[in-house]
Amino acid sequence: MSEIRCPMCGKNNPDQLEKCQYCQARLTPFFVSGDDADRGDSGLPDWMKSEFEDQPSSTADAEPEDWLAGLRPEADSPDDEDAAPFDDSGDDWLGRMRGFDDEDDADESEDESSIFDGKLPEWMSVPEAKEPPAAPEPDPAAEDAMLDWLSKLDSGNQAAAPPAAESEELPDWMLNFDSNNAPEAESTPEIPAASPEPDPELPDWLTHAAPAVESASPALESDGEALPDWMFSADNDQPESASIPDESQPAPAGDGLPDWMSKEFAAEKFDDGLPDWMSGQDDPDHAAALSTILPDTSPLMPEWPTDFESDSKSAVGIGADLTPSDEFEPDWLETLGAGTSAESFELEAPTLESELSNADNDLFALDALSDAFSDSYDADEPPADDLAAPADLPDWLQAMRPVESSAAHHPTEHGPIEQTGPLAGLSGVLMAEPEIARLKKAPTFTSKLEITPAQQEHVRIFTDLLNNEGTPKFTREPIHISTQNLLRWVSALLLIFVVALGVMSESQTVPPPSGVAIPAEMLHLADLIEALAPTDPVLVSFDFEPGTSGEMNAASAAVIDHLMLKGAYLSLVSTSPTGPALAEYFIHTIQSEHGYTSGIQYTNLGYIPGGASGLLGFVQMPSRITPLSFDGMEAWQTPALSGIQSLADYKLVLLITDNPDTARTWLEQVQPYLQDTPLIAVVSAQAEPILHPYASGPNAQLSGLISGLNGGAAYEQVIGKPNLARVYWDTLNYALMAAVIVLLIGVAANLMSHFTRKKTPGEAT
Amino acid sequence: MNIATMSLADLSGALLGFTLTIFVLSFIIGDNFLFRLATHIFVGTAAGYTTIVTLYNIILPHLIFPFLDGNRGEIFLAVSFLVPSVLLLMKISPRLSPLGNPAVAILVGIGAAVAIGGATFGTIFPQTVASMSVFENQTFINALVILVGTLSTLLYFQFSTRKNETQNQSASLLTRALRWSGKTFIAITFGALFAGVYIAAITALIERFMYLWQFIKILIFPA
Repeated sequence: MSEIRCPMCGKNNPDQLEKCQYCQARLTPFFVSGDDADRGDSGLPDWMKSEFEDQPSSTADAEPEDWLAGLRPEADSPDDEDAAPFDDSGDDWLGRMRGFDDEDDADESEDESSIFDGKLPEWMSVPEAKEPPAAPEPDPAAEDAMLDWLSKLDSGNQAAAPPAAESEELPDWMLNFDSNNAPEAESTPEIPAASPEPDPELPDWLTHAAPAVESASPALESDGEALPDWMFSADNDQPESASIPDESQPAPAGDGLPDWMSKEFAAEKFDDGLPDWMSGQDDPDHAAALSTILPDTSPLMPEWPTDFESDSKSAVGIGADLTPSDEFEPDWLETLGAGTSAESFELEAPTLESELSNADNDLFALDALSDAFSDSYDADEPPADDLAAPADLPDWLQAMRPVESSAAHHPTEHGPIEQTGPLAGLSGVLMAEPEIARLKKAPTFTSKLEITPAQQEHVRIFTDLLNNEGTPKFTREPIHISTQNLLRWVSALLLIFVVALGVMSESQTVPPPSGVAIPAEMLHLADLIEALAPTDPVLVSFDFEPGTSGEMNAASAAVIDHLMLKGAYLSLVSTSPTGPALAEYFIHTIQSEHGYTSGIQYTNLGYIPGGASGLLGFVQMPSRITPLSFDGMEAWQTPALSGIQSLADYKLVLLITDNPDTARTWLEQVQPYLQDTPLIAVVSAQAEPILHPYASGPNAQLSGLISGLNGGAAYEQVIGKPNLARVYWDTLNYALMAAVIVLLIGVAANLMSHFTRKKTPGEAT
Repeated sequence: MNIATMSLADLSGALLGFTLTIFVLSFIIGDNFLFRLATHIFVGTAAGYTTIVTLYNIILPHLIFPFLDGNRGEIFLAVSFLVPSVLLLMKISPRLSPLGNPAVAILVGIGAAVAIGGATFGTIFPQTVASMSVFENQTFINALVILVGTLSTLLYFQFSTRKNETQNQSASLLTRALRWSGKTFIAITFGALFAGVYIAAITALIERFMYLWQFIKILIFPA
């Protein structure tokens, strides 16, 4: 009695049973033969029935538990004795994979057999759109439908996946794959479907897998295009070993596989042997079993194949609604479509059916594998299909899993993807640019100043201080301030009145100074002039300004008169530019009575420039300094001046000045060179206090001094001839008396205000 | 003087003098246009007159005429005057003003030397000798007043004191008394100077009033 091993629980059952007596799983595939094609979709689950109920040609009638057998025909094959039970729970699928090696473990088999107790596993209860159509039945209608969606899938992949666009979004390893395999992928649809000869352009692995791939669908090819080499190779190895039990064509192990997937690597990495689940990779039985459990690995699949899968499955899902288009059908599909009956299809392409089924499973398995490698990283996110639980990868596998693919699917976990710069496309990089170029809104500060009460008090105090500083303290306004102008006007009017009265009265009642009031130096001066002989040269300097000419004329009139009376030859000079003119005015106006004539009785030598230096030069070389007279005549050609070589040759030098500095210059520069020539001076009253020391004492530098109107009036008294000083004398005395009265009144008023003013508290202290 | 006998120039001069005198005296009511007008006339007239005097008394006799009819020595002397004078004129231009620096240096140097020498031998030495012999030529009272006044005035300008043990830097009582005495003499001197200025001003005022009165008498009393 032969036995049939349950593909689910792995326990042996009598061959006459259709269902496993342990797990109730179907023991014989319901679509393997053409007989099973009559069953239609009876074997499909409800959701699959709804998917295919619109397909009148679908006559598949299978038990609900056996619809999964179509996904793994190799496992349902009675010849496949290595079909191992698997756990669809998805929680420990890798552990279950290891369980394939323990086929003899009866206990484990019993536990696993309880899984398929007629209930659909969770991962299988995905929405219908994502469920791959498990309709590889040889029913012609189903075949047509399948061809339809395959053609649509092919056309959709061709239209929706331009290589250039994909290459831009794909990672580098995919680009490399794309660039390396693009010709192959493009040439794949052109391969005849039933061609037993492999295309020489195809790689070895694809050559071996060509029948399966060709019979599968163009979607698988597209899927293979998007897969890395290692996954593509592994993917093709598995269906090849699973769908083709003939081991005479061994799969090119390691062709395109990454190192970690190769056996050599595994042998190196695991000295004690490959893990159990990996050791069975090359085993066709294990591959078949793996293909059956691969759907359970969907949580580890990367997102890109999942998306592609969804697109493909969507296309497949709606494949029933799509009308087949011959122009998009590859040749091999047309060849497949040439069969009109299930029997012919079965006879002509028994391998094609199985390979198509295997290819479909391969696609499914590839998706699941990708999910297994991707979704295991995302533990927090729910599974895409809400059924597959995150797989528990071993650490070493976790460390070796492709990072790029999973990193690309979790951009938010490591930060946004860099959009610009040399790091464009990478995620998790330091976001320097956004931090630097981040537009920050300018902080807004309130314009209202927050002041504490204490600060407000300080501000108030400071403001008061500033205001009080600008405001003068209240003081009693002096009384004299208000009467200042009045007092000034009164004084001025009083003085003007007195002067005017004195001038208009022409009074000469006030006696001039006489007697003891005449200083001794004045008497000495009169003696000097009195000692002059006629035509004796006398140098007279008119060094005063026009503003003081009234005083100086009155003060010097008596002296000049005395000189003219003596008949002296006058040489007139001046260190002031206006002096020569004043001298001419004096001779011709004040002393006009003497009738002095220029060049005869006097010579106006004019202006001596250079100040002290010029005066010093004039003392030493008078003819060189003033060669011409004021009227432009030769000054030193006159008989009186012909013998003059220096100022010492003059008999007398008379200085008439209102400026003490000018008098001092004459004293300092001229007097030392005069030798025996006396120097007398008529100065203004304001210069007398300064020049008086030069006129006193036995070694006085000034032989005689007459100061102001008082000295002129006194000298008139000396010579006994009243002159201009006498005319002014009375008026001067009146004016001085008035000024004295005003001063006394002012002093008395000031004293009275000082004593009568009340002292303020501040002044008292 | 009779107005009928006055020449037109004398009459114009007398009238102009009278008018300008009134303008100047108008300053008693404050600064006004008449006063400023008279002031400007005086300044302008003085400047013009000074220019003419300088031209006729200095430039022509010393810089021009020697080249016309002077002998070699006079020409050489004129050149020695002319060169510094031309360089001194370079001071008009800021760019050429450095060329006038030598002439200025000569003038300042010679002027300083003359002033210092004259002050030393014309004022300091003679006045010092006269002060030392004051008791010989003056009465004792006068000589004492002169001595105290001179010493106290000099002590008044001594502002430094010696630091004593009590750290009191105030001057001694005698020094302070002499300073006060010196200040008194200085005040009297300033009073005498002010009195002289006042007398000079009153004299000038009298002279102007006298001039006005004479002019008015000629106008009012022509005979």
